[in-house]
Amino acid sequence: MNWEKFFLDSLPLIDRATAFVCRKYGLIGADAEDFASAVKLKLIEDDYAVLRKFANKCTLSTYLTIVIQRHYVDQKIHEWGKWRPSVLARKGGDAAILLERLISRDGLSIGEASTIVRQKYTELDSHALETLASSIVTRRAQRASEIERTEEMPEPASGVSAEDDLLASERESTERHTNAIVNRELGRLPSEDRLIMKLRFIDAMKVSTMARLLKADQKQLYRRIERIVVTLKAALLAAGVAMSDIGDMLVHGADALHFDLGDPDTDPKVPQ
Amino acid sequence: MTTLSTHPAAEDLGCFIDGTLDARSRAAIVEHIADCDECRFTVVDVTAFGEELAPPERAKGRWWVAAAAAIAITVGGTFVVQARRDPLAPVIEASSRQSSRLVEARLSGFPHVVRKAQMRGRGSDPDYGVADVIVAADKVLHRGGDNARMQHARGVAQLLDFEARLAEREGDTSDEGRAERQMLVDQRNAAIPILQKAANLAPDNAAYQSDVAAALIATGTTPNFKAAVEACDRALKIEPNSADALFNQAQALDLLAQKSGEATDVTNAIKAYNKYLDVDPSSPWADEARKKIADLQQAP
Repeated sequence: MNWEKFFLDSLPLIDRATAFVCRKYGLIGADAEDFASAVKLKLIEDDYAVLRKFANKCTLSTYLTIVIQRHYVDQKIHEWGKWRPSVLARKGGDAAILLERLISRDGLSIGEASTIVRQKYTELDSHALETLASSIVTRRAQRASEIERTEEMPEPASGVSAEDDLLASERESTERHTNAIVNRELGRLPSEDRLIMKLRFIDAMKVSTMARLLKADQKQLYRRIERIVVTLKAALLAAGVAMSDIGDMLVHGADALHFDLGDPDTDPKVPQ
Repeated sequence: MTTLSTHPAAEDLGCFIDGTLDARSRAAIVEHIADCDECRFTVVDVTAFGEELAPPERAKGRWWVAAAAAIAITVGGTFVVQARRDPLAPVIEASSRQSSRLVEARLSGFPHVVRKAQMRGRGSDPDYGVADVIVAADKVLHRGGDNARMQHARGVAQLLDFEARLAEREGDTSDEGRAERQMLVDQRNAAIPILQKAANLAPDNAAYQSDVAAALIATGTTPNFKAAVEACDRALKIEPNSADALFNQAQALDLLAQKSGEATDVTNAIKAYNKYLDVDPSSPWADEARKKIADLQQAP
């Protein structure tokens, strides 16, 4: 097998998969070009070791996309730590991921980040952009509030009343309580049901796609999802979670569901 | 079943995505990705890329739509062309095959289907007709786009999705069935803000206002019946002869009359139906309106 020729023949597919990953994670300009070069290097290194591992068990496009997507994630974990786009940003698409990356990772202000995003996505609805940006800032503020303050640390800027603080604190407490119970109840589900719930409500995967992936009948899958939702809802109500707190997450699959994302330090390693 | 202690190899995950794994290996992957977000994200992303690369079903359907459109144009019809453009076309098609209309009111663009008082019960629906509406509505609910047209499509899909799921459980007297029905009833208002947003985005569209009224009527509450009358007033200001709005307004007044039992409310409802019949004297909706008038006249 001439692996160099195989690589060259596969270049259009490699480029397309690379472009897809770039779009998915909001990589543009020089960042995208750098990533495309890194991908090619990865595929060429060790005498095309990655391509040599391909045993034709799945399609080449699927295999290459997985390799490229994983390479991106590995590279970003190395660069940023464990930053990854939030569920809300993933749902919002490339522009939302770019906006979140600029604000959360690069520390740009909302105005600066929005200007960059608008330059690239000229068709973007400004209201949607503002909503997303404010949700990113809220999440950052929530994370910051979890940091224990010391005497040396400066006081946060005071733009809110004590009443606002109290309301925000109550809201956070409810969210933490709800999420803890959701995670506990999800943990009690069989693994396939747990996966179904995550694919449906976090990743917003279409039921038809999910049915194909899990080799399940689409209509039966609908009924199964509904049964799981009913079970979950009953458990949440029994645990004292108010209907108003869970209604939105169950109906709309909202970002309100903060599933445990695991400990990055103990995450299993990708096999080489 | 084998539990994976590390991330699955790229090709094994690829086989899972491509659907070529045996049941045992698939179960092991499912077990892993149920708790590994990294791998689950990979599965979601690569599946999306696969659909972007080769959408065989859409490609397969396209020649048929094109051929049918050509035939329709040849005979002077435009329905197929419209069906291709209208995001709600599959929902309309699935709804038109129901033995009973899913919502009481008249939704714009939907053909007439008789509304039966007693819906089908679980176990007596072997053809999964209602499930077809749920499947079609789900596709609309997951389509992108924030313009008025897509907002409206999503609002209508949301409404029919709930009503279809409710209909599926009608007659199920088990505790589970009752609990599921109650949960759906609690969520019944969800379509209203979506449809209202569409109406706000397209303030000159009478059909959108009329569909807001349809969603309000579906909730079955007196304040919403009153709000439905007002939504129809807004629709009729835009399009005075809108059959959808006239029918829905008459229906909202009819339901208010049934709740209050007041003679003046009954008279108002009958007047509204007659106003509708002036515009549409001959369709199946008109037959339904006449029957409603007769029912109102017979009421004590």
